[in-house]
Amino acid sequence: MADIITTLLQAIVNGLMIGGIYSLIAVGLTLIFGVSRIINFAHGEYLMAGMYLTYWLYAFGKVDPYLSILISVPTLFLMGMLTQKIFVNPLIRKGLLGQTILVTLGLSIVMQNVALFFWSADYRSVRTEYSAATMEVANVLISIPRLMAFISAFVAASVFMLFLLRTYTGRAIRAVAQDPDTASLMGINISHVGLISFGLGSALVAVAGAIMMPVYYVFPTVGGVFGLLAFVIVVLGGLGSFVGAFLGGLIIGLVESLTGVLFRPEFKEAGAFLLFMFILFFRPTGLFGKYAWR
Amino acid sequence: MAQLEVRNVTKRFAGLEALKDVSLNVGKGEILGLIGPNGAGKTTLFNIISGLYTPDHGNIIFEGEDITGLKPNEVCKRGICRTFQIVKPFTKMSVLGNVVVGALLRNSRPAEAMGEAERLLTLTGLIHKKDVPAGSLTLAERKRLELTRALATKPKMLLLDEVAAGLNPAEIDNIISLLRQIRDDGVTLFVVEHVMKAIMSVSDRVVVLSHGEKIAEGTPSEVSRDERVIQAYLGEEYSIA
Amino acid sequence: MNEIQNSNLHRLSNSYRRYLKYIPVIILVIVPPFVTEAYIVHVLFLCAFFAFLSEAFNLVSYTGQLSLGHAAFLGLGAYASTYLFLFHGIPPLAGIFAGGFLAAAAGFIISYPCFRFGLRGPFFALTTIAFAEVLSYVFVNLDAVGGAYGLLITFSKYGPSAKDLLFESKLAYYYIMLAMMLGLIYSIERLEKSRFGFYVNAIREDEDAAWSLGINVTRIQVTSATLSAFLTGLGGTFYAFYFLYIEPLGLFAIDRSVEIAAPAIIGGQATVLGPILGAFILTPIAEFLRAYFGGGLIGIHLIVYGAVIIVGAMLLPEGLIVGLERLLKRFSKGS
Repeated sequence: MADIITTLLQAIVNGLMIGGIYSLIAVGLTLIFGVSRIINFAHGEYLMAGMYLTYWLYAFGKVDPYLSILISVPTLFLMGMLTQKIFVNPLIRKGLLGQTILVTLGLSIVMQNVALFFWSADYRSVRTEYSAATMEVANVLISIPRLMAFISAFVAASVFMLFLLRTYTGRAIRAVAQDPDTASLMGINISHVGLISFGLGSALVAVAGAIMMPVYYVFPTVGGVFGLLAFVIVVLGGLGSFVGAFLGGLIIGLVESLTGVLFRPEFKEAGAFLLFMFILFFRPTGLFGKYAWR
Repeated sequence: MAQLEVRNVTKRFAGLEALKDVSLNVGKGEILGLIGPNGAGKTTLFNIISGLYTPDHGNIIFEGEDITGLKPNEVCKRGICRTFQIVKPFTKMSVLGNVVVGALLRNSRPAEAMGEAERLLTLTGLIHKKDVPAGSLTLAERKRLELTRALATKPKMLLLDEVAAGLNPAEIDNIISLLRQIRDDGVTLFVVEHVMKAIMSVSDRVVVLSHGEKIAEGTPSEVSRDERVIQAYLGEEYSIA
Repeated sequence: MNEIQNSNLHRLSNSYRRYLKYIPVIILVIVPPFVTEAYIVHVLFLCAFFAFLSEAFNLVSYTGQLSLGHAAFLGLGAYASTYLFLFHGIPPLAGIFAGGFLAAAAGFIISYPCFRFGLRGPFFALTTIAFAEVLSYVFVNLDAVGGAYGLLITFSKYGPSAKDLLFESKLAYYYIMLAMMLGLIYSIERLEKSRFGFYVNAIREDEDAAWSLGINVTRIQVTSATLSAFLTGLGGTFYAFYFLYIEPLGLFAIDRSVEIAAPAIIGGQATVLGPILGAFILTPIAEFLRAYFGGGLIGIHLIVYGAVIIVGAMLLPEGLIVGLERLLKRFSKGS
């Protein structure tokens, strides 16, 4: 009996910890959607980019992943801004918002295969001194780097929330996400907000990438799985809802972990996917969202 | 028995009551006007009748059949066709093609449908533009196209949502005479309108909605003298005389 | 030039235009036997193959939806006919239909719940991606069809045999594929002019308006998807009997879905000739890149596909074929 409880607790802890990272990725995606109303198909590939950046900084400069955040965040922020500026804004100006699916899809294909071309399909990981460290709490094994990752994700998400609530830019972002027409009438530059949002969404993913490297590995198609999960979470939490994305990430992490433990580990994605379909059929707006995709 | 009965329809959106226990009847062959200040719930009612929304409470009975909750295509098949407040032409299709889409409901062969479409376009005066892409039409022409397309489905009743909005007086007169012609051909018209001159001159009867409730019903002259109606419109620039 | 000469020229160019579209067909039929390089015939086959698949894919685009999981239908078709052939001796000429119907069933299973419950746009696309991934996983674990190792058709053992779709000469495959491609083009042209075609175009432009005119949008979208899946499934059999080896990771990969979708996206979604044009442009490029980089680096051609999709989406959203048509119109007006 105690074994079962321990196993379950272990699964819950693991699930929450990975869920924190999922949350970070999902919040980034929902931010981009909430402001620009586009679904960034390449979001997973930005994660991949962040992970590779972290990897190479460590491989060549022995820069600890957590330290490299200082480099990868601005880099991906810039990447995000440039993406919005070069690929999205022109389409918005021409009234061709629907084409952004294809553009971000194209970006995702290009990025995956460029990574494949330059760095091959090898799995790469960052092994630091603390990568294998664990601690034990009530018979439950907690991996230190995962705990660090979870705490970092939580901190990053909280900082982001504070930013949204307390700063002028944050409020501008929320205004545009709620009602772009009124926001622009009040003097907010929608285009700038769009740039910043894409940048921020990518920056969040940069953090996620960095904190993942000590416990996971990067390969050209790593973005695929995480990207898909991010969409599931965003829909679960409700398109455009930050709270929803955050909670959704934790929930999906839990569902995945528990499915893996209660059934078979290969099925954990299936569990998440089934939840996705379930939510879409019965509550397409998600937990907190206002839009169902029509 | 009225051709269309709206019975105690209530509709809520996120806690806000868009329609509160609204009931009305539309008689066969009449032109019934539906007016009311902005936000009164007129388009919502149309959306419910045409099947885009389901009411939270109440029923829609058309020619004795309960059509509440039917999908828009089923409602159209039974003889109620609607036009939209913001016109929705198939912009990349030709004018003729647009009407053919409507005509295909009752004429399953495209050749027949085209013949019917051309007949209707001649009726509504758009035949000279039949091969032009619908996207290049003026607003007045698009409204006429929307009307023609709806007519192609051989409706027993048309729900016309602000068909005169955005038109100049000459165009409005055109539309009005077209509407009279359509009614004379046997189609019942249920019309939402803001342009008072248009609706008051063409309607046999008028129903007034305000804040989701029916506040008056009667002939245009009766309604325009009703205290509650005048109250509801105070602050709006429309003169109802 | 005076009026009479002008109108004569115009009349001439009109009749020219009608026969213009048959010229490429004639070239495609007459020239290949004179090609000496077997590799070029291989590329020609691939062009016709992807043209066929992309044209089939396009049926979904006609209703305004995007499917990024068509590899699922390709794979199901391939596995069905190959399995029936290797383990039950059923010739591919019959097995191809089994493959088609299996794929069609899958198409229905995926599209009906989605369209019925409002899962459109990017969410439908994501569902199709997930579906192909699930199938990949399922087939890797299905030992009855070879699991991760897949199925191999040993040519020396079973062929050459025309009735078993095993030909020595690649030219034979090419002509069959060409015939299928032309047949599909013709069928879709006729479909466009039918009631179904009108409805499909209406739905793509404005679903709400379509509903209000009595069209059952869901039924048409599901029908399109199912038909598209069926045809793609047919293509699967050709894949299996040309390449003689199928395995789940390569067959159900998103790369295959992209290769199927890209010609239509670039050439012109919701046009008859767009996917054909796209396939005949992209496939040679892909093959050239494969040859140049020695095949060691898979995915190089996808960089090009991705880039072309981006550029196409931004500059020519309606596709290459519409752009070309406009160019031709401008030339004929110039005289």
